[in-house]
Amino acid sequence: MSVPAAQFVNITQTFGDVVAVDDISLDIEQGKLTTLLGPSGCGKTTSLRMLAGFSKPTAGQILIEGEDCTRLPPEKRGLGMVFQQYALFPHMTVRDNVGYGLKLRKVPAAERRKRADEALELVGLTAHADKRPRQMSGGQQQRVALARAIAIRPQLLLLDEPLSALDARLRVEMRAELRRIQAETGLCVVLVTHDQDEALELSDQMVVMRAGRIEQAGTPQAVFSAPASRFVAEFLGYENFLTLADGRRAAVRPEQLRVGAAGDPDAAGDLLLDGTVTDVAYRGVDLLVTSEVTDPAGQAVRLVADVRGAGPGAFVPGQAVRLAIAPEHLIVLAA
Amino acid sequence: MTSLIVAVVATFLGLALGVPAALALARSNLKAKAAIQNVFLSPLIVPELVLGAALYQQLAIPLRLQNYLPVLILGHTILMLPYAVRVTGASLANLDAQAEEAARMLGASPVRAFFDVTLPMLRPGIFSAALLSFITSFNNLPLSLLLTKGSTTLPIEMLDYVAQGIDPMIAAMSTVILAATVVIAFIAERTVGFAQIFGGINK
Repeated sequence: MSVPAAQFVNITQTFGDVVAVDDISLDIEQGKLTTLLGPSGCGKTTSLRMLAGFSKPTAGQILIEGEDCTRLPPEKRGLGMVFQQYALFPHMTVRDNVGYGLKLRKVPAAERRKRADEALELVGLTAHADKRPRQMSGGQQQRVALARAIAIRPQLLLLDEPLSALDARLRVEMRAELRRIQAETGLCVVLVTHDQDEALELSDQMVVMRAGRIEQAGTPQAVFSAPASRFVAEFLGYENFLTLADGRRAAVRPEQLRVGAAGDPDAAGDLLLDGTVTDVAYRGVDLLVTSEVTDPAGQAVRLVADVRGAGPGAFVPGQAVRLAIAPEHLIVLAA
Repeated sequence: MTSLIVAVVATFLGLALGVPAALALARSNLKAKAAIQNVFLSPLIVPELVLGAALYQQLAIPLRLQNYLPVLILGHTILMLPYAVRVTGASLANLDAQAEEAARMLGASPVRAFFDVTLPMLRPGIFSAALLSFITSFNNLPLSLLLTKGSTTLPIEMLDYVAQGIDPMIAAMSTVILAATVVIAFIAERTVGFAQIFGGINK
């Protein structure tokens, strides 16, 4: 196996009394897209900034291509970075923005222009090369930032919540764009995000962080289908938690909870829970039905079911219901 | 003419001291930050006449100066500091700090990133601070009042004229100064915008 593009080796970062990153070790694989996912304050941005060189870890080592870069300033690392707020240079044209890294590398003007235009072509902004950043929309500015980072042909591209400043529709578009660019360039990318959909869609490797530690790491499919803890499950959209007869905790996604009339017979092996509807919310494509039921451990729990295609009158509060969960949808949590 | 020299030199000195001070204040996380900032802003609070009197007593007289011009310039420079610090500080606060980091990531040393990215981004702020300082200095009366031995500024000259009697020349001078101020204000508005100059209230 080749050397990982970057490695965190027992990295700890403290700010005063606050431990932002607590002894994490992680390999970033070549040519893959690794996502650091978690809520704000989980240490994902701090980790990225240590990889970029903007902050020095309190303990541990950062390796890039197998070499110790822990003490190297950002300008000596040769990495590309895209920031949340674009961070373009307002006094330069788009082409000069993209070419700035090459100018610093003393690439001759003609070659610089060619490579800047190539990078702009990659992000579909060839026609805007002579504009100023403020003449462009947010989505376009973020693409310029991406082109600027790619133009230096970095060993590693760091993306710090690059899509969070964009509106919802543009965000989804830009995800597809990012996937295409990564596939075309074969770049190794580290993406920091708090958006689980973004992480699931884009990652080859997904690292869920919590309070400065890595809670779980793996492919999106592996993490999604078997969240290691309640925290990870909640973060990935598992809204329902219950205790099984043997005392273990389990999670169920709303769309995998089936709601039927009380006493409904169901497929063998399903876990059946009887209770009463407490709330119904109609949302067009689906109906959110909240029910209070007794779980196998005998405790009252409130579970939300997402019923696709049901009309607003399909269930009413106070109605007695039986919830059914197929065994494969009952995710038993380790913690 | 004296007015012009004083205004230009004081503006220059005010910026030379005020801009680095604003930068240092914005970047440091000293505990005394607020106190230092207040020191720089204090000339706005102290009555100018008091400042003028102090300079007169403590510098002009003990040094037995024949021409008070250096003291006059010093006084105006002190008066310019709040503008330089405040206006530059305001544009620094609006500044996208990530732009400098972006330059670092692209291979720029901290010094290079400052000159290539931060300074050009601050230019409108510094420019408006200069204009504002210049006008303030050029029109200043109370501070200059006691410090004009050997070299008189325009407002003092005009005051003398008015004291001696109404003369059409005063009206003419006033018109010229007013027109010049309007032109400068117009330039400032077109290049930077007033909202930005007066503390950057709304982008």
